[in-house]
Amino acid sequence: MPTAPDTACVQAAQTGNREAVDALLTACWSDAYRIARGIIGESTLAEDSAQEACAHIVRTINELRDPAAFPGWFYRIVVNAARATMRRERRHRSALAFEDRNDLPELDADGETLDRLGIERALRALPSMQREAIVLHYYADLTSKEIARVVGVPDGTIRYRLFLAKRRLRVLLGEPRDAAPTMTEVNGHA
Amino acid sequence: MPNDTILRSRIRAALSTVPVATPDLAEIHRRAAEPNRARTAQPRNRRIAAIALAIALPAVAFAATPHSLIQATLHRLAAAYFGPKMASGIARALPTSSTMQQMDRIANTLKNGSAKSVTYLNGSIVRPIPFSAALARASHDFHVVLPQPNSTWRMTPTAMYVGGTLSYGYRLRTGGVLDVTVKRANAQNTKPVGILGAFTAKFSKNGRLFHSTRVNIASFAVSDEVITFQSARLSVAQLVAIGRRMNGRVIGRSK
Repeated sequence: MPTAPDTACVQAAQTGNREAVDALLTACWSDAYRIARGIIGESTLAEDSAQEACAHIVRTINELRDPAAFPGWFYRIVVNAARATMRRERRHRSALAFEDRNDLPELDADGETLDRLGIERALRALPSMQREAIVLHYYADLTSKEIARVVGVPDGTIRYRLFLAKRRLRVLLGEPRDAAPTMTEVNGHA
Repeated sequence: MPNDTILRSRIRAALSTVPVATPDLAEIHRRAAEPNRARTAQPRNRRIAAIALAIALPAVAFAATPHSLIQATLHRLAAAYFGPKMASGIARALPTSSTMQQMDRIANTLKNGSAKSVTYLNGSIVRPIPFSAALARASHDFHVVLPQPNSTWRMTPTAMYVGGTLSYGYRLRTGGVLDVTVKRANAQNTKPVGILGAFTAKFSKNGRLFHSTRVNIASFAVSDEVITFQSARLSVAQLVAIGRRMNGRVIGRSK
């Protein structure tokens, strides 16, 4: 689970202190990158998106009224930056090439690496909105209501997206068909 | 263990083990200080104006492009895709005489204004060679008779002989009217026996062509400064005489 920066760190950054801002960015960077990576699926674009998100944070940190609300605010910025990056890329490419050449497995790749690549490939096969929901739900550990606030759609929509995504992922990851989730199971986690 | 837990742990493990690059804080601050202008939405009317401009500009540019340039481009594309022979056929089939003349003008313009440097012949742009070389390369016996040289004329020092077609040109530097007659020679290639065609060209005082009529058989192209004659095929040993009525003289003969 991502470690959110504490409130004091956010407050210090809101004073405009460059070191405090840098500390906040350093604390947020890996989460911003990994969430963007999960949503976009490509390392270079994910880094670009994370940088955009961090730049947005630097610009607008003073507008955050409640420092305790930083995590939700942060996820919203990261998701929006990832969406903008994908939108921008789609203009330049007929279809977003999610295959990341930098992550092709080495010949001596261990099982963990291969499993990671398999998961990433399965994530790429999902529609982008389902991918957002899955990444925020499983990596950022947000509930469906929290995801709904971040993404800006009703809670039920997020639950349905999660249901569809999980069903698809289980097929893609080779789990047994009878292990498909039920809506109750999805709601239970929400 | 519920499947959801397995899925959660696998996805979390996968994303947690993704190698993360070191944050480039300087770049982040630079981006923060200089946000991309494109990200700022313009007012609606400006966006509409931008879209309209984006549509209108290429249309205007296309409309302003000379037809001859489009034709020349198409010809070159055809040559690249279908080969010179078919492109030549296409070029002969598509452009009219006037567009060929325009193509010459455009080609001459592209060649730094040197009217003598390029000529459009049989669907190809060719470079001229010295007149003597053209005669040497000619595969058929022919005479060329030009009007008597006049101080107000400037004959191009080069000529072309390509695929049985001879061409060369001249202009009236100080303006005036040039009457040219093209005649067929007799079997001995000594005297013209029939008129193939004639044309009249009017030049301005600075040598620009005002008006011309077309030769019936021998085609000719017109650039800004020089009339280039393209005689009829000489494979039947036609003698092309130009300006015999104007006391033309033989300036060359092939072997």
